[in-house]
Amino acid sequence: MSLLAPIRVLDLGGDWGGLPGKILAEMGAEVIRIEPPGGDPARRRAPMAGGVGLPWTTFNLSKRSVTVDIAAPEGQAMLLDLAASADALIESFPPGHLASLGLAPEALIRRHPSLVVTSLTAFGQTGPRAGDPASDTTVMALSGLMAVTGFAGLPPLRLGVDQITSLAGLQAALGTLMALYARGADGLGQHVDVSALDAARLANYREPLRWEFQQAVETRRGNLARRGKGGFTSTIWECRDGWITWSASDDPKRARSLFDTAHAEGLATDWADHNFGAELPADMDQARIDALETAIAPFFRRYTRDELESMARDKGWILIGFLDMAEAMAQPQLAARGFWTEEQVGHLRLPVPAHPFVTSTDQPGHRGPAPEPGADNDTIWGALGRSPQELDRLRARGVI
Amino acid sequence: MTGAPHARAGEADGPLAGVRVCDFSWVGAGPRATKELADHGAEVLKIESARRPDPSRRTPPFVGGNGPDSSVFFVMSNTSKKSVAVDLSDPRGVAVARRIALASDMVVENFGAGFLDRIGLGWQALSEERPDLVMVSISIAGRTGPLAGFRGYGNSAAATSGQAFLTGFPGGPPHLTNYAFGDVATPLFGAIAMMGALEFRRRTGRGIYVDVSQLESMMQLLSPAALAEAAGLPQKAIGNRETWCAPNGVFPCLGEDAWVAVTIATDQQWTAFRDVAGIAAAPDLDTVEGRLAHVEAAEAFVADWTAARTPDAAARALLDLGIPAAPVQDGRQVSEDAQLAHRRIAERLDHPVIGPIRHVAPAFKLSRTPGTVGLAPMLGQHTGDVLRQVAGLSDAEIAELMSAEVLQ
Repeated sequence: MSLLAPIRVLDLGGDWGGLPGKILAEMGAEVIRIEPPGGDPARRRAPMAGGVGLPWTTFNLSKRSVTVDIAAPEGQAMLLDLAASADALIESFPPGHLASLGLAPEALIRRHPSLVVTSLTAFGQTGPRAGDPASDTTVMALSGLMAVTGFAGLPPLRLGVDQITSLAGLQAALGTLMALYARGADGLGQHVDVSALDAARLANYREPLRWEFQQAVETRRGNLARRGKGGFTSTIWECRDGWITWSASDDPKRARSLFDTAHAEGLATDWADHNFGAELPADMDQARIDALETAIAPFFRRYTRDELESMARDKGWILIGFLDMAEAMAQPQLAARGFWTEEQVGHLRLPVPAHPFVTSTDQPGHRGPAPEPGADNDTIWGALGRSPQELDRLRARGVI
Repeated sequence: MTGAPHARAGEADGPLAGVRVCDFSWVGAGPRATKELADHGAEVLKIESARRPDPSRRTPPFVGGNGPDSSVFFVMSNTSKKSVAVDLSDPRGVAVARRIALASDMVVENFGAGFLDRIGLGWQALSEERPDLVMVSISIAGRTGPLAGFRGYGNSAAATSGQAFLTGFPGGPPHLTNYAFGDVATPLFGAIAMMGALEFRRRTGRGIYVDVSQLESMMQLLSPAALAEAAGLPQKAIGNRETWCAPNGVFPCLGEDAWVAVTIATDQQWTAFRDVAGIAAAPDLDTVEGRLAHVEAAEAFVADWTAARTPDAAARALLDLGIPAAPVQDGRQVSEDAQLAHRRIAERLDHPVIGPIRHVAPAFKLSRTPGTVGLAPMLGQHTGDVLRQVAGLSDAEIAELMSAEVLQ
């Protein structure tokens, strides 16, 4: 028994859609990826390693796969058969595409009233932008997040590694689970209409407020945080072997503790008697913040990330070092929680995340490699009554 | 048909009607998770201390004074909840909170490590009395391991997951954004975990404890880069580029700080652009491999073309060719975006102290059991009602605790 067993999910996620099925699979659902004959073309997207595309592989771990041509009438009938055995179906085709095949979400639910159908698209099923082509980058641009990400004098910047697609995928997993929970009460499915732009807009929790209540728009401020009086404080600091984050603390005791430590080493002497309880960085103008930061910067430069983190632990400062991807993966915290497990990725063995979260019982987690295209054709179509001869015939005709 | 959630005060509906959540969480990562549940019909009882309220209540901007009910920032993460002001530093307050927790389906918390255990409201203690209770903790690095006690904030996980390192331009410093991505991604893992736990409980009748880590949530989303790193492909910040197609990025337009975002994902899209832009033969660029190999040349063609157009005009022309494109919108443009208005992503409700204020709606619409975005609560607004109806206290008991300032 795991969290979601024995739920079965059909996964027709395309560019927006790999992640939700992966999460549901690792929570215990049986997730069947439905691909066109020959496999999803996105399987070959770079970066490639071990002969397979890593973005596709990563978000299709722990799933099964069948192939079927849903543009062919025979393939449509097979999909409908399979849907009868499923609890949920996740799709991310452009709005109207499934309807053009006679497989509109509403029609699927009419035919199978207990089915949850989740549509994950850039903008949702309706509205002025609903038909527009979109990408992770263009949705981030529309959300307002990009205008404030990056550095003064440089172009607006994306977050690394398609994070908007991921936010949308998480929302799709959540919406699917809520619809399944509602079904638990009355047995009825429904349509879940997820928008990546909505997901990114929710993430933009500052800028629409700034406009609504201050009639101001923010620009790119690099690694500076806006403070109460309109000044900016640095959020990242150079240290001996890289960077750490420490934000001019708005807790007087912690700020005092840091400056006392620096003072004991002969640094920041002008601030030895400063009363942070009476004047926090949030109360200072920019010239004074600059003076404070100039005074403390040499202290950070004197130590390594590890040394500063160790002091921070003892003294209660909120400070931590920046890690690159190799360092981030190797950190003891992740090892201690068993976060990585090894899996076959093409012809390589690579570490993959072992769990989305930790539980006291029925621990969710990784369940196997990303499937080969159609790896489960024989068992899954066979269980629906298709004989081996019939499956061979369908193969020969390119339906599966 | 879009089943848009809309404001209907007071009545519980939605997929989670009948689910009660005792929510000790505060600041960002916890409240944004329970907001998702509250907007979908769960009764979320936000347990707050009047002496030490949720710091979000002290975060600007403020409207209608500067008290705990004036922060518009607080409203965004706390729609549809009820507020119960209980002093957890007083044993009588703890006793009240315990009754509420034991009368709930789920307890949520993101306190410092061990705090709830110390006051006797930890998982062990509560689940002994209520074996079917669900409890969800959200923290920076998880409740076990060497960083279990780490005190941090939303951007700490951006630093330690590698996200800040992968966000930036080649050769530049890591970037911490002015929004904490960990505080928006982790709550979704949290809400997913909560739903998984409720589903589990419904099937088995058993409770469960869930430990959600910001670091692990971020690492899940970065896992394509993690696998690449492990496969011997060192991962670095690549600005606005994509790993699998080119050109991808933002390009300067007519106007001040005016940009259009463009993704040319396929050869067909490149050909369409090439023909419209009148680009003379550049056969190197006709395939995605060629454009990735000569990415600067491909980008220069796009930048030359966009420079003579406004962001809207450039985006419109490219969209008409089937190419993903969009203006880079600022906070004002987002607030006025027609698609977001169509989706009713932020509808005005009349807050008693702030006045009319947009309350943010969920990112998905359920066709049959849509959610309902309700007002964010004022501090202690529901203390009396909840103590009577949920904790079973008498009016006399409530009055006594009120006068002792254990309740507000």
